[in-house]
Amino acid sequence: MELVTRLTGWLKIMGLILLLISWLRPSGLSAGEVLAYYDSASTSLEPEVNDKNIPRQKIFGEQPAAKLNVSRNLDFLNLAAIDDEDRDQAQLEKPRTEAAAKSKEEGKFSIKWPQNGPMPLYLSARDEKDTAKNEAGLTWGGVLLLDHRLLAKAPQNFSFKEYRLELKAEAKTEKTKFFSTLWVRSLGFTSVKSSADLFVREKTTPFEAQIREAYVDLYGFLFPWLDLRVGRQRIAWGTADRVNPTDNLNPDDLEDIWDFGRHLGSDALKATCYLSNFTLTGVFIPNFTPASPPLPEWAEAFLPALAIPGLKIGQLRNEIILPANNLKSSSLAGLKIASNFRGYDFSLSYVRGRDDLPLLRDVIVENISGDTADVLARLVYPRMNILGLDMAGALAGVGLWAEAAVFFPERVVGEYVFPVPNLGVIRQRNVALRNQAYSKFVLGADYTFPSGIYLNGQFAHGFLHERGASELSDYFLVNVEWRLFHDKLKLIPLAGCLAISEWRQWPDQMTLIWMPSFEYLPAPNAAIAAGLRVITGRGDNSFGRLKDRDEFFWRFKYSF
Amino acid sequence: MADLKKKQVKKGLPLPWGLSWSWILAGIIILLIILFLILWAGHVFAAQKLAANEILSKVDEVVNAARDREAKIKVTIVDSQGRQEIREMLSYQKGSDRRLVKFTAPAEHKGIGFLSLPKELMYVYLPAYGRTRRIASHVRNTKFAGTDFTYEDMEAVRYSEKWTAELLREEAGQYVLELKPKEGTKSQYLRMVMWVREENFYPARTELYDQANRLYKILRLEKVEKIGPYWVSRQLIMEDLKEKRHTILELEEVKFDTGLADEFFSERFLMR
Repeated sequence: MELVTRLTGWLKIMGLILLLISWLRPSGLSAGEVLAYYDSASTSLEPEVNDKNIPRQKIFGEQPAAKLNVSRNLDFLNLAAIDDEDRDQAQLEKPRTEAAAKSKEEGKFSIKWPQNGPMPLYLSARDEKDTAKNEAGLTWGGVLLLDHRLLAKAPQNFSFKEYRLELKAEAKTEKTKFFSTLWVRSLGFTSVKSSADLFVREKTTPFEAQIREAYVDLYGFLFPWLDLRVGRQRIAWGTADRVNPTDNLNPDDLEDIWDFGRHLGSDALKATCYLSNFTLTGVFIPNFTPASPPLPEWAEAFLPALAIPGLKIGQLRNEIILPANNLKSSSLAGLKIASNFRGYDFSLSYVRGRDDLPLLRDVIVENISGDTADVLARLVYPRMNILGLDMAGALAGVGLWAEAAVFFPERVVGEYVFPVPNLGVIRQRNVALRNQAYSKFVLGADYTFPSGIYLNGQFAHGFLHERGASELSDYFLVNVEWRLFHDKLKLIPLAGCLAISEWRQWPDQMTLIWMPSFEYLPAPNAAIAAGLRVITGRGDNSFGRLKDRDEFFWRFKYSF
Repeated sequence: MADLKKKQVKKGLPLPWGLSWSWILAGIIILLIILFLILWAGHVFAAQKLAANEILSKVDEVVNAARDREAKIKVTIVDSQGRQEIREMLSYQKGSDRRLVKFTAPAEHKGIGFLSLPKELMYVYLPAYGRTRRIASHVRNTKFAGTDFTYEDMEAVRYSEKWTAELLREEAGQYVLELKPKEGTKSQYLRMVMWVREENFYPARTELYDQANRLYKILRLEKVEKIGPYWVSRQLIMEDLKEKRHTILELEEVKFDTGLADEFFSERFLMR
């Protein structure tokens, strides 16, 4: 019985493989298909197939030149005459035969006979379009990015350095596409502290490589209306600019907080069905990946702060508890349906995912000495169910968008553990996260004035690292761009954000970020940018904690 | 009795203000002539207007004759100093209201796509963000990818639907039409003057006037040839008179009626 079950399983797999092979098989010209005819009555045609499986026809000609009519649109054909010795097309281009004929014109073309007197030639044809469809030519390109930042406050230390080489490769046929982006980069500064460190390449020239994306698209998989994407990929949901409450499948990449909205790729399977006016997308991510945290100097803005009343923290250890590595706990899934109604795009989405930023669950106080204690913190990634809705459209020429998500977190209960002299250890239950729904939303609009000035404004309730109804702040984001000299120079005099964490305490709880900059294109594919980032604010809120980190930046980018 | 009758006839009906029947008759004739002239002029004017709009309709028929069109386009931007920048793109068009454009060069633009659909639905695809973005009609007046063509210039348009034409003159085998926007038509241009070849109704040149009625740009359609049953200009030159620069669009490979389906003009294919 077990053998029969196994055999059935194998047969199913073989059947699937055969189906895939038949689906991927090239569909070129069929053998013997009439491609052309010679308009002389003395000419005979003998359709046959050569060993390269390219259909061809034998032509006997005696005239020095002749007209040929083609029965198919020559736009799709690359015609060449091949001599009787079956030499390939490259040899035919030699003056000896003068018979190579390539035309993009429809209907007729001339073929010049290589010599006087009878000589058989073969007219060979390959459907260029079909060839291009099924032979994936690899193309590649990339970006070189140099990014330097300097703190405004004395002694004006460097705060960030990235030399990044992005390599992109693409191989495309009509039914498939392979795409990958690889980052090879040096991030950070030399951190040599001893002569031994000089021998450690990572300390002298920090270096890393990341596969940001590597996926294969299968277009029209099984059904014409179904596309499949397999591999590491970015699944970008939402209509707002960079602040997307519904974009919850890929882990956040918070490494560079000024590039917020950046995400890591996920190893995922994505199926997209195109049905009439509706697009249905289903995503499955088997394994959970946490967010990439901000660099240490920025971490206090995004990661949970730990404080114990009456005690200073000595040694702080932390323990990350990942979800169990099984299908039920680790996997994420999402479903989205999108459509256009009366000129407006709408989509409704559902994600069964996880918060990709860690939540402080347990605090275990150890080794109290005077007013100092060592602490072990345990962090978890709580399960989240997220319902999303977004729209995009235009009214009176103004671009409009809105995006909202309702988060349904799981309840997370942890504990505080305190050693108390003479009493042993006290354990106190701690509700780290309540299972109360909360929502984040973004409203935005943009417009280009006749002068060429572009204005983009958004209001966001809740930033990507905030969770829980009481923790959500309000953000007014604005971006004004002025393109000059035919896009050679882009001035951004006003870009930034006003964050208000508590309206009742306005203006004592607010942060203002102003980021004027410019970008100049000195040559094709090259861009130089420079600017300033000023953070000011009052009170204890996420960005307000960073108010001493004003900085200058300059960046060079070259695409190839 | 007979004398009395004669007197009555001679005297006739009494007329006020000393008018005579002769004057009245002359007035009626003059009025009839004026009425005739008005009607005739109106008829002639209407006939002329109809002719101009007919020419414009024929332009639409010729320019939008193919069911669909694929083209590889080389874009050369030439600045006032003669420096050149080259861009390449693939352009797909169906009818007059579906267009998909994909940049293939230079590297900084490669992969960027633009989709234009009926009812002013427009999307742009930026590979760096991995998704499409809806764009509103405010971009119509902005330059398309740094060229001298605006998004509005790049739209495939049926002129007769949005513009009303008046025949200014005929010269050197060409009709010269003045186009003014119909009510409800939004355009960056106050008016256009279009030269149309009489032999095939294909436009030869269009002068574009800004809202201050100053000549702003000139579009020249050159290398007009017939591919299959369709006329096409293989070289379009847009000259910006203010900036003293121009952009050349060269259609390197053109295919007509390849059977592009409506579904091709969608976000699905924009992202491929």
